[in-house]
Amino acid sequence: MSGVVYTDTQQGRCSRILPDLIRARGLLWDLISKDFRARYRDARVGVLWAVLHPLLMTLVLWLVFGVILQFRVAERGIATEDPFAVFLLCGIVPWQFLAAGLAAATASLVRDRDLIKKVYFPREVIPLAAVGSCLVGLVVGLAVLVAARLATGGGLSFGALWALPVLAVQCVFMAGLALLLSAVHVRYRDVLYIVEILLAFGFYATPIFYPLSLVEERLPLWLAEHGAPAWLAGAYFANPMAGLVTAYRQAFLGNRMPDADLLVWPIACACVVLVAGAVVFRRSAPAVADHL
Amino acid sequence: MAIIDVQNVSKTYRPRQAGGGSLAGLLNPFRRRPTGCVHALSDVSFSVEAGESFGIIGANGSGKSTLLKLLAGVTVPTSGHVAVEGRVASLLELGAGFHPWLTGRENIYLNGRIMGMSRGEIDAAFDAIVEFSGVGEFIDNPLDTFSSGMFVRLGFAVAVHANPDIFLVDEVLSVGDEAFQRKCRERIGLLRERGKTIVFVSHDLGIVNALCDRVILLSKGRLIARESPRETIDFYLRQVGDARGIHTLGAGAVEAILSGGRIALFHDKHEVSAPRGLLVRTLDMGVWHESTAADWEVVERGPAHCRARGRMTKLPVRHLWDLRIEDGRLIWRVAIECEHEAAIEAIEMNLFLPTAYARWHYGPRGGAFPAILPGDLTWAQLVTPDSACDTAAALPGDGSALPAVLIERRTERPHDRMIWWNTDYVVGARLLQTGGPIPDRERPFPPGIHELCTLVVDLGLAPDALVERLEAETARRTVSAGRLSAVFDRGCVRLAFAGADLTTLEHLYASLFVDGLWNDSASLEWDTPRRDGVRLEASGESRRFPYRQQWELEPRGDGIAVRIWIDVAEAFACQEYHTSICLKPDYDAWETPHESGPFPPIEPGQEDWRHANRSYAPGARIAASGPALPAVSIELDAVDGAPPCRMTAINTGFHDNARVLQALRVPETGAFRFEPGRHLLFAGIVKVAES
Repeated sequence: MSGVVYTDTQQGRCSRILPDLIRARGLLWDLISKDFRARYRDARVGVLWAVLHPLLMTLVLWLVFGVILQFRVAERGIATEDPFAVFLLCGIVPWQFLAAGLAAATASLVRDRDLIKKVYFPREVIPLAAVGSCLVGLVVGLAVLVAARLATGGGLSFGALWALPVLAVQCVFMAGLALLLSAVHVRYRDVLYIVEILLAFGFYATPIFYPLSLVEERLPLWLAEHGAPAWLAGAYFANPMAGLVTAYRQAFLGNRMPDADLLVWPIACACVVLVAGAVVFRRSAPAVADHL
Repeated sequence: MAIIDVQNVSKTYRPRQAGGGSLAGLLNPFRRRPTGCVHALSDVSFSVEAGESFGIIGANGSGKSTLLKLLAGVTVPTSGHVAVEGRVASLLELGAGFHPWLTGRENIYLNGRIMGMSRGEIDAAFDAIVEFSGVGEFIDNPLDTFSSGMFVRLGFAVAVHANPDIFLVDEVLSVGDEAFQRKCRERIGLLRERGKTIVFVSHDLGIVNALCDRVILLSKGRLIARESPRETIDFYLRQVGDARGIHTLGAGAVEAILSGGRIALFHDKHEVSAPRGLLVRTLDMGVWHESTAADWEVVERGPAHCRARGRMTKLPVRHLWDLRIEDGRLIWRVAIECEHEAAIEAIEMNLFLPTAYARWHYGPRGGAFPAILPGDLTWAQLVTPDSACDTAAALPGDGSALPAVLIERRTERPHDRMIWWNTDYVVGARLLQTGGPIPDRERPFPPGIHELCTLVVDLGLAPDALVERLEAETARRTVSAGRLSAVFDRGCVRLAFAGADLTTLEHLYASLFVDGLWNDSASLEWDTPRRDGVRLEASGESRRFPYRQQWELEPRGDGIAVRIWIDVAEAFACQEYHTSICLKPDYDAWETPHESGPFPPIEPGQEDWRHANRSYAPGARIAASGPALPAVSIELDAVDGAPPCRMTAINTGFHDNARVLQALRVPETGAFRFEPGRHLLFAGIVKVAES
């Protein structure tokens, strides 16, 4: 690696992101595995927590909404009616990935300030590794989902692989947000609190324990009843996770290609957020150590 | 090729205020704009060549850390450019990025990655890293079970094995135990030899001076460079002179830096003192304590004057130093204050001079400093100590910019003496030492203040003027007859023929045996010799017995007449007395009117003085001859009615290594009784015959 040249002018240049990241891919991978191993090292049941976490969440929601409130769900585009627990799990796993990833990524630069203040490496690695280490949790969660679906007698075909492009869109979206939020959080430490509140709010604003079809059916009616303009319904759909979670369900529970209209908006969001995040991050990265 | 290039770099920090870093602060329309920026670096430019060892020094807050961060790429300058070509390993923050929950092995891989190594490189270096760190089987334990020493050692091991092109080294050398520190230094030396570029930041100016090719000084964010590391460091020392034990004083061309029990002396920006400077050493219980080990405080500061107090940490003794610079002279006055009785065995003031000084003078004597060679492991004493000698001088060699140094000693302590030394090769300096062992009767020092000595170091004389002055001083004490010259030097007469010394040890001297003690003429208190035409007269008073001696030297024909009188104030008895010449050991034969013979060789281990002749019949002449030097004789001067003497040829002990011609008077019975009045002790003529 001799002959590596770095100058202050290159550090802030957006065109250098990809080459820098490609060079630092080994570091990125090591940081992800470090995060994951360190997280469960001292726990009694270790990695099992990655399995237990979505299951326990599902159990709680199933008790509240399935048993007490007697929710019955039929999602659009899905022919069969699945057990409510499987339906919940399918929403909870991607949501948990988003929530854990964003919370970790937002705080990541501040958390690793000792390292950042001492050694130079492409700073993007830090928030991306934070997202990446949550990806491991997602994979475990999806495995649990598949197992649950098979256990409850639901069929699973290659159509479930449609979840992969959906996952890709979510990853891009989260990477962009991770870069954006972590960079801003260094300057304004309020960001993490705002993110936490928005995530708590988002849990209800995302079709996790209710189907999207229910919103599509009732929200326009409710708006009309109260004399509000119909376009306000779009506010709900501005949340890209609404489309993404439903798309996951269509892939996993319906074993089919997700409806295109569900993905257009999330894809657009992911692209914009990624570019914005990368630019903002690169701009502030060179001097980020001064604010830590 | 410059591997590090820093151009016009400035770095400004905006102070972070409470609330200034939050959204609330941003949204508050009444928030105060941050005012006053911190200029950590202002317009700093320098470059470091590949393979160079580069030092950065500066006080706390001078911008060193900011500069290192810029070099490490951790942050970027506010304006200007930093270009670094190659992989940088910073040894500043060992173990940065170590995760306490991961094992040593996992951390090596992670840390190596952070340093920019590939997995293959880490695999290859893994065993060497583990071995160097000395962590051993702990390597598979989580890092939080490591001791802090192991943690740092592992960090250092990874850093040095990361094979970077540039090392940034901070105070790391002060971590770990002694053995590991040595290992670190060796390793850094090795990296230097391998042509790695090393950037050093340290408060240990000794290490910076020893290891760095170039040193820059940062002062309040600005770069101040001097030509050599030494000069930069000195400038730095002067700059941080507000510190407790440090003071700079100067007047005219002479400057001195007092720094924690050591003085560095400068003349016209050139350091006159060798790196060890001027310091005081104290011997206690067989251990030497240097004044630099004391806790120093400058109690009075002036532009050309200061007083400092240094409390020895291991002795109940406080140094009291008074420094003054005036008329091109440093006046260094040293006293010690004992808190309670101190059984100090010896105390010495040391003035180390660089080897650029080529000639020494000691009283009227002088010579060339021998070269100090790599094999010189012991210090060599260049002169026989003479408690009466109060002046010494050193002259620089040709082409040196250093001034001539004239040292005068003022002391009330009769047993102290000055000595010129050549140190060993490692210290590599000339040394003028004053002081010496404390006589038993003065030990222990009672509580209170004891004045030791004042050294006046005169740098204001041109070498020529100094030589002239020394020669004039010598000339005033010299009596010549043809090519034979005799220099009177406080009770000793040094004989030389055509510039070659004939005598050694105490030269020509007289001694009286009174009350069981030999009372040498060299131990008298001599006044300045008077000249009366060609005749030289001097008188000296005994400190112990009620008499004075009066000496007269006068050329007579081809010899020099020596006459010694004793002026007795109170009657006393003397068992015997003699007048002797201590000749160089090159003389190998002797001759009296009665017999003649060779001087036997002086064997190692021989301590006592041995007579070579057998007959003690009184005579009037004794002579010695040798292959290289002209024959020397003493003839009793019958004209003055000198009493007859036993003429004796003597071999000294091995240590003194001299041949002695002695005119001894022993009473027939009992003792001589000197009544008050003037008596002639000796009258003779010293002659030289070319063989």
